[in-house]
Amino acid sequence: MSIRPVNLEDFTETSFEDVDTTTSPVNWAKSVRSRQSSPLKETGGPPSSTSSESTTFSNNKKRYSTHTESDDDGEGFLDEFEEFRGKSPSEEVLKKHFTQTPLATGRGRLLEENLNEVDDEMDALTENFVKNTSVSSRNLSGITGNKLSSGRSVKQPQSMLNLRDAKKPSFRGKQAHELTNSRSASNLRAGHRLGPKTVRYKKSMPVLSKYDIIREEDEQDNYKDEFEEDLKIDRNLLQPQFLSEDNLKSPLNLSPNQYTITADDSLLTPQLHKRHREWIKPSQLNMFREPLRREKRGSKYTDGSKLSASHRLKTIKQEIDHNTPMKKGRMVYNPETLTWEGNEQALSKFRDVDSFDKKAIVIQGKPDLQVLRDRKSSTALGSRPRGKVVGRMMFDQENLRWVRIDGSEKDPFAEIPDYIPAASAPTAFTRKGLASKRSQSQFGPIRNELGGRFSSSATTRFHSLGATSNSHDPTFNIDSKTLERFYHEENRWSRKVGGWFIPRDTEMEKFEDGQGLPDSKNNSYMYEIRNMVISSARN
Amino acid sequence: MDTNIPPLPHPKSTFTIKIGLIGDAQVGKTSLMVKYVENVFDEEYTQTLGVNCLSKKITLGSADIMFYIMDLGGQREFINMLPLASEGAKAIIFLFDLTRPETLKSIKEWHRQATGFNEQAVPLLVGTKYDLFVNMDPELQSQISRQSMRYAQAMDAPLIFCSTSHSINVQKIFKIIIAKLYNLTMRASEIKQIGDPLLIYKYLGGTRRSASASSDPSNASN
Repeated sequence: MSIRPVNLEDFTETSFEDVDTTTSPVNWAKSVRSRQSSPLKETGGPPSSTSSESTTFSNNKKRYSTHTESDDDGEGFLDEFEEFRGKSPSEEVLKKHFTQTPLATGRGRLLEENLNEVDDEMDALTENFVKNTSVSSRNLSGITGNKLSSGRSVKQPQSMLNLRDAKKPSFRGKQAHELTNSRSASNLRAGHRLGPKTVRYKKSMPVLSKYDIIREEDEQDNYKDEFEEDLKIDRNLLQPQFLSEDNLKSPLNLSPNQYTITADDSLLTPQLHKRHREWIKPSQLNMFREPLRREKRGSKYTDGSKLSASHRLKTIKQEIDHNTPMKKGRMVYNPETLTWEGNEQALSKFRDVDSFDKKAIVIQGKPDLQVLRDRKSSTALGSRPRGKVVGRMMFDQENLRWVRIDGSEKDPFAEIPDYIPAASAPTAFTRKGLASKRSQSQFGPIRNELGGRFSSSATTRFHSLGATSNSHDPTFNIDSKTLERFYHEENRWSRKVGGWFIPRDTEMEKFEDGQGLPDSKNNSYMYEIRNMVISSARN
Repeated sequence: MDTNIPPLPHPKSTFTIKIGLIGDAQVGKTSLMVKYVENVFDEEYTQTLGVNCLSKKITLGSADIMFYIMDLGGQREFINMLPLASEGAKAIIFLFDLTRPETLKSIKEWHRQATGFNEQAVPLLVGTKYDLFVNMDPELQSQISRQSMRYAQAMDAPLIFCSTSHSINVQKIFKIIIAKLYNLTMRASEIKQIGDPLLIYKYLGGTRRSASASSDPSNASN
């Protein structure tokens, strides 16, 4: 594997300088990682590289090129994020945001995995804590709010919205509006997850209480959610007899025979909205066009010096043949299928995507079957507990078929004979069967092979026999007596005419058929004849 | 360190974000990358023979964010270079062609293989060629939109329909990446109506990062 930057002379620095140009696939991970990793990973402290064009400041170990295109509309970009809205992008705010994650991800993966477990626990605990204290916090904030602005109602949760509205108008707006549209549970949960973290960076805001902020984004939804959560806590306090067991069962563990299960397409993707307006025409595409970026300032990018994309585009070409098998971590490259094998469990996430009925939402009982099942279940079901029962059918696990529970199985095909008489095909089949039976007899390999010479006699013989003894079912039903008679018959036949055929003959035919015979064997007996002739001629 | 360099008045922090672009051939991976970095769109198809790289720096106040975009050739013979594009990436963009539903189907395989190398990356599901998509039968548009939404949910990935030629939702993709990586709240409103260039990101793609971002509880309580 080698990396070939295009137009290398144009760049005094390229980002690939760090990469060993003769890395083998084994080294990929190392080279890739070292190239892309955040400077923070290397030093553990803030890096010192700057952003000015073609100026590179290096830290102790690595150099980071800065020849890349720079986007100067930083403020506009920042404006896109709620956290920086209305704030001047002061260094503290930025650092606070951008240093968290790289630091966290800079740790070893193993460590991270270990930590994730702890984190999830932490998250759960935090969430729990927030839930449990949400009522008190609401009161608290209400009181504080009351102090601040008299005349607001304390008890009505709505007043909280008003309070916040007055305090922080910038945080309300589109988001709350959008959330009312989305009803899925995942939305609510995700809002919760976001919650505790928003505390961190909004601390500086003149907030009413710590937990108030958690309801920042999806206020109305969270209120509903919180009340539901409160109810859940109350439920736990109830006596167990009031709690139905049904909650524990999977609600979708239903048999399709008893319920009409409809895969409602629009319910399955609640995030999407049905189209009410006219469909977009190609001429209307400009509606969605992103605003053009501002012209670059300064003289850094003059037309002459700016490199086009095709020049700046660097291609890493493969020098390893794609037929080379490789292994990388838990993934193994299969050159025959041109895929990386492994991580199969990732596909399970998509299982439900392809079979919609598994995620069906609209379930209705089938009235007719419902009645039937109720009636049967008390009688037949109890006596035969084995096998899966659906409606009036039970699955016979031994024979892998469904049978009627009440045993009143009528075979509508009983009068139709199984055998369909045909002129030629069954004859051939029978003969084959006969021959294979015979192979177990005492005749050995000679008679096993029905050579061309035997075939006519064998066929005629079968027909005569079949007509007499197998008139009932000429295909398969050959009882042992008949079979025995066949053997005797054949024995007699071979005794009578067997002398006319050299046993070796058939054997040779067999070999000639395909298995091949060593030449010496074949020739030896030709030589014998020759010797015989010569010796007789000599005499 | 070289002592000749004068001390900088405002040293900037640069954060490097490697992004992998993955998907079937001719879905528009290179186009999207070039469009984002250079704001240029070329109708002509140029096959990527390996992995294309472009980088772009964004200045956010006192911090620089360096996108390091790696675009893997969609042909099967380049799949042995998949580790190069996916390993160590902070975000992996899975692209499919909105006018060719089979390219959405193969996202399953791309996702399996890419996540096999990198589970930490934020996945994004991007449907390309939205400008051609609007010419299609409304019923088909609806089906494809719903199916891609299901895929996005299964992958826990933000879903974006974009058009490189018409500059629709191209910048947003990369803004979403920053928002997801650094746990920021984006202001851009979601687009959820079928037939529009979908932009659904708020509650997708956050789980992996939030797990790692909150790995330092003391940080969160500060």
